[in-house]
Amino acid sequence: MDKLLKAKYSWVILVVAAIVAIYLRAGINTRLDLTTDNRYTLGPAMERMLTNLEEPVQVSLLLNGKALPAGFTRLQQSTERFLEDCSNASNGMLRWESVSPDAFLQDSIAFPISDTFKNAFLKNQAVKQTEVSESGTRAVFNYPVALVKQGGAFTVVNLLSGQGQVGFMNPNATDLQFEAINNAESALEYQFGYAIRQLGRSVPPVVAYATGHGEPTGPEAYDLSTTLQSQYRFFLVNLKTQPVISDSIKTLLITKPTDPFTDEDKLKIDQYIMRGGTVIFMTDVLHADMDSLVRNGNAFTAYPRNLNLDDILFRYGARLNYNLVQDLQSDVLPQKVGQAGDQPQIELLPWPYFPLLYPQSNHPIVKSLDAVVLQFPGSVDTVEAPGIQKAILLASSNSSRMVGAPATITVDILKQTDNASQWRQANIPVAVLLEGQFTSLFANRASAAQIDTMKSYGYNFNRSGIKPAKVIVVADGDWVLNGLGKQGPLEMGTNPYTQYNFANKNLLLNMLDYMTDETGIMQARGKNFVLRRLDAKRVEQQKASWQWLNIAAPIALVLLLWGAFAWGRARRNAA
Amino acid sequence: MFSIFSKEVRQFFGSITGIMAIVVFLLLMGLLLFVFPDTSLLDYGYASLDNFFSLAPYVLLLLVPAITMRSFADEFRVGTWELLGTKPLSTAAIVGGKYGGALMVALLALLPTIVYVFTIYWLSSNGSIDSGGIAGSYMGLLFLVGLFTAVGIFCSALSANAMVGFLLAALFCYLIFAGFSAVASIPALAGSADYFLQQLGAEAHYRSLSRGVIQVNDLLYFIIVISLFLLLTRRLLLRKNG
Repeated sequence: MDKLLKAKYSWVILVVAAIVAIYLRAGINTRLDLTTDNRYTLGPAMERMLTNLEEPVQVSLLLNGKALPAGFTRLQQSTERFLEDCSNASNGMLRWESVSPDAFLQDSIAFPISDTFKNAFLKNQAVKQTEVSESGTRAVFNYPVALVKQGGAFTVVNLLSGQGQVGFMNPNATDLQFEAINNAESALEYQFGYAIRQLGRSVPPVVAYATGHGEPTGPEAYDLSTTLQSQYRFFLVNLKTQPVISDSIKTLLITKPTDPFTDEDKLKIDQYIMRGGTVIFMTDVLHADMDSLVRNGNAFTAYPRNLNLDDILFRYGARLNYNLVQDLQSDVLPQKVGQAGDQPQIELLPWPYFPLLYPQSNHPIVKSLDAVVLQFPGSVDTVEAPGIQKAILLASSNSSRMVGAPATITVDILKQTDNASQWRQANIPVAVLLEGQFTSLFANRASAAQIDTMKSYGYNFNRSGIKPAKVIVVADGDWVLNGLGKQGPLEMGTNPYTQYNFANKNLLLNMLDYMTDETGIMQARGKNFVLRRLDAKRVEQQKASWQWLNIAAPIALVLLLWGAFAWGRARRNAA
Repeated sequence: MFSIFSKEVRQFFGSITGIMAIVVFLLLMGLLLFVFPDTSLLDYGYASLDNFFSLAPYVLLLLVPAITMRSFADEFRVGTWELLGTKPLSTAAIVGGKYGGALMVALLALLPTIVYVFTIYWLSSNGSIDSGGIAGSYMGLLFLVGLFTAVGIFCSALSANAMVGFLLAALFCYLIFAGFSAVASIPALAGSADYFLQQLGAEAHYRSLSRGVIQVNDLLYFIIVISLFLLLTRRLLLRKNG
């Protein structure tokens, strides 16, 4: 060995061997994420998507500043680390770069996005900084945005999507910003996974809107259909005339039906679910709407609609109750509070029939979502169904109650809101998710004729699910419909008086994404990082003492160690 | 080997310059992390030590060469090297002892930075820090110090002049840490050799470890490069002895 080492050019061999070893060891992927919330471990879905990339993906990050406000430095760092992990997991199929936003945005080839988008979106999201140089000061903009390109297609990832406007132009970090940045960090995997999945889909999944039972197709469904058309292939399917529901449909929406479902209709839905189809039921079991109130004056009675869906839903594991959930935490409507001369006095007051539901669950569909507004919802119970997993997506607040049918809807409810003892119920479920292999409602009921009809269309009758399926039941049909303002249709979930836009649309899109997601990336939406902050107050008050301590104490420690050492040596020498 | 190791440590603590190097290192870290606003842990708002772990490599670029610079250079200069040659010690043991001693001193210099961890822990608003992540980051720092020390030992064996040893070590450490990623970021290399070039440098591996993620291939990188420099040092000594 010594002889070999002494050879003149042995160093060349050593260096080459080291480089080869470095090259080889890159293939070993054993890792241990020591961070408490596994911050740097990709979920299985993301991992799968990245290893199976067929075409290279290029990510350009426009958040590329020096000395950004603290939150953004953090977000930038997290994003870069995340992208690095993705790059490693994809074996280099995913490449990323930080780009200078100014130059990049002017390059219309690199950033092929319309000016309208640039102006509207980027202006809102910009992080402005002032750069001081010899030639004077100039504004530098950064954007918490990344562009993801694959082949000729691209999509934009807004890192702060769903975090609202939290005053980022103000460089003084507030609590809200810390929360928002933390949520954005938690959402990185979902956001990029979503983008990569969208780019990888050659055709968007099909979402069908059931008709034939009085489902709204007029202006009140305008926002619903435009929203769905922008992301899915969206069709109307008449359940009465279609002999079977095709498997090419990924998700079926049943929105606020008013007419009863016949056994034939239910058989179609049932068998579609047995074959792994997913259905979102959004139903009002009671007939209640604001128009009736206006027509009837101050009060009317909400009577049950006969939808004939109880048995099928019960079989799947949900029961829609014939009641109304009322909640003190509710949206506001203009209401008459008195009379001044001949002028009625109108005030915006909470209207307990329109509960505002803040999702409490960490389920990926609803996690960190803003409030959703419902109109005259009922409650939905989960019931025993073998092999079915249930999750409650929406539930009422701590100050709510249920009123059974026939329920009187009256403007006098305002007089009851002060009496807290009447509003003691909490967490009444309003929307549930059911997952698993369901048992058919017609398992022992289907007639030979029915089975034959199905056969003639090329489908076998299944007594129980042959594939896992998903069903969402929401005890309200109005929450995806839009109001009409003076300018035309509003967005769904918008209060026409305050113009406040609730998260109804986000919830619907999340539901659909969960239903149609073939990759499982939706699970990443449930990621949750712990936010660890310094106590700003204590830092401010005790700053000087901590500064002194952290400079002096380490040095003192070393000097102490040295002193002890010198003392020990002096003693030894003396001895 | 152990006698060399303990001699190294004692020698270092016996000299005022060695202690000064550590004091300057800690002073610099303290100022950067608690006083200068751009890099301050207190102004960052998060209960995290990210800034410490991202700045530490650059400050260590000065500290570690100062610790290792006289390791062999002094032996050559004073002439004790020949004396060492008469002892029944293999060159491997000598290199191992010198390396271990210098590493020990460097780690002792890092030890007081635990104070920063406790400070952030005390000041955290919900009374918690990511202790797992921080332990992982320290592990990265430990391996980086190991690498710098190996490079420093090698450079010290190159010349009898300690100053030359210091400067060469600082330069080499810097090149190994940041040089490769700098070359890899040349646009002309994008999409071809850049990834592997980056993997040759220590920065990518250190950054990956300092997040708190222990990847076996990152650790192997450090072990390979440390072994390389220790073997090169041994080679130098063997050739010197003729």
